[in-house]
Amino acid sequence: MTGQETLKAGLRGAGLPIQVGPFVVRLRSRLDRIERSVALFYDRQLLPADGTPFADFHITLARSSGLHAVWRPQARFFLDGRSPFRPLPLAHAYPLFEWGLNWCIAQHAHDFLMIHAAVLERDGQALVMPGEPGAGKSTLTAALALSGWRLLSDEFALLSLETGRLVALPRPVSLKNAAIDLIRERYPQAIIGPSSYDTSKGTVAHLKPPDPSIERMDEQARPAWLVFPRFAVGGRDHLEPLAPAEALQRLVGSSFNYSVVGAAGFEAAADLIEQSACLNLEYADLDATLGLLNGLPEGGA
Amino acid sequence: MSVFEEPLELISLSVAHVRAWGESVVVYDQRCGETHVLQPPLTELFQALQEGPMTPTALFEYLEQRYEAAEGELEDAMHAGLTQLRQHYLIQVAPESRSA
Repeated sequence: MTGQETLKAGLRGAGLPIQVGPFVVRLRSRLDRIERSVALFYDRQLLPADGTPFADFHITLARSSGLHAVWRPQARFFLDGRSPFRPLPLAHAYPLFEWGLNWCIAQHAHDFLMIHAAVLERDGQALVMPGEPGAGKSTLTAALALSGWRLLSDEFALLSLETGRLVALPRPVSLKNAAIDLIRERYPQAIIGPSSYDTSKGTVAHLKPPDPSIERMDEQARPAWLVFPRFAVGGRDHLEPLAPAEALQRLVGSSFNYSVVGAAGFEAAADLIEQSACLNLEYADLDATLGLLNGLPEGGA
Repeated sequence: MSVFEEPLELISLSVAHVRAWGESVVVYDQRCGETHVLQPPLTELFQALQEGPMTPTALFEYLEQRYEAAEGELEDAMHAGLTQLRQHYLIQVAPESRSA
């Protein structure tokens, strides 16, 4: 069987095991668009179906059944046979998989302090960028990942409660709206999948993680910089120091499970603050901002 | 002893759950999962009580040595701070004085 046939057989059969950072996802789907997207984005992370007895998440993406599915086809997400979300238009099946996987991880992965943040690495040192939606985090993340930084995560920082280091969760970077063409034009080498239009986040397209992100996904990184970006049209591109106590409050405010992991979460977050240079970033111009981030001094705090 | 003169002490806190950063002290209370960020003058009160139980009078003297403020203002600030620390359940009457 060719790789494509194996992938198809796995998706349509017992499930296709995929290594996503520290997790194994077993994915089943008969949807062509899921098959195409998995072949494009996860081809380097497929595990042998026979040699992977355990999976953290058993996920199925299926077409909704029922009469309405005839004129309004929809995709439904299942975890362990149960569907926690409302279905989305069939054209949004792949974003639904990615968003659903976020939910699975956020609900279950309490060996980590999970933070809504991008993580990139340079020389073993991690740049953590929490950001509200619209802060421009994914655009910055894509640009950094395509210009020499190693992508650990686009929007899901996993801070190990055991080691205090950032664990990679390399998945496609979710680009939205104007960022899609911006990244496509600036970085011709970028592999960007098809756009999904009219999602709850507007137009969404995914960027395939560069090879080093996948090849080195077992390598953890030491926290060195904690940067809170804010995109401001017409703003001036600059970094300014942020008081550690405020940085901690904002960091835990961006966490999915701070209240779940208790004292270990506080200790990990506080240790991260003490090891990192804490900064606010206002940015308007991508080149200027990349210059600022590339110029961050070694060593963090 | 007046109730106002009972020695006060901090609740038991792990060293890893108290972080002093610049003028701020961040405290994690494991009993309830609350994270408190203390700013001056609360930090001064907190750090004084880290040395051991103190009566309000002793605390006042401690603060008086560090702040150049009018006596009434300093006393008001101290009582307001102690009220906040009580509201956060970070201080309590020292057990020895309760049994005395």
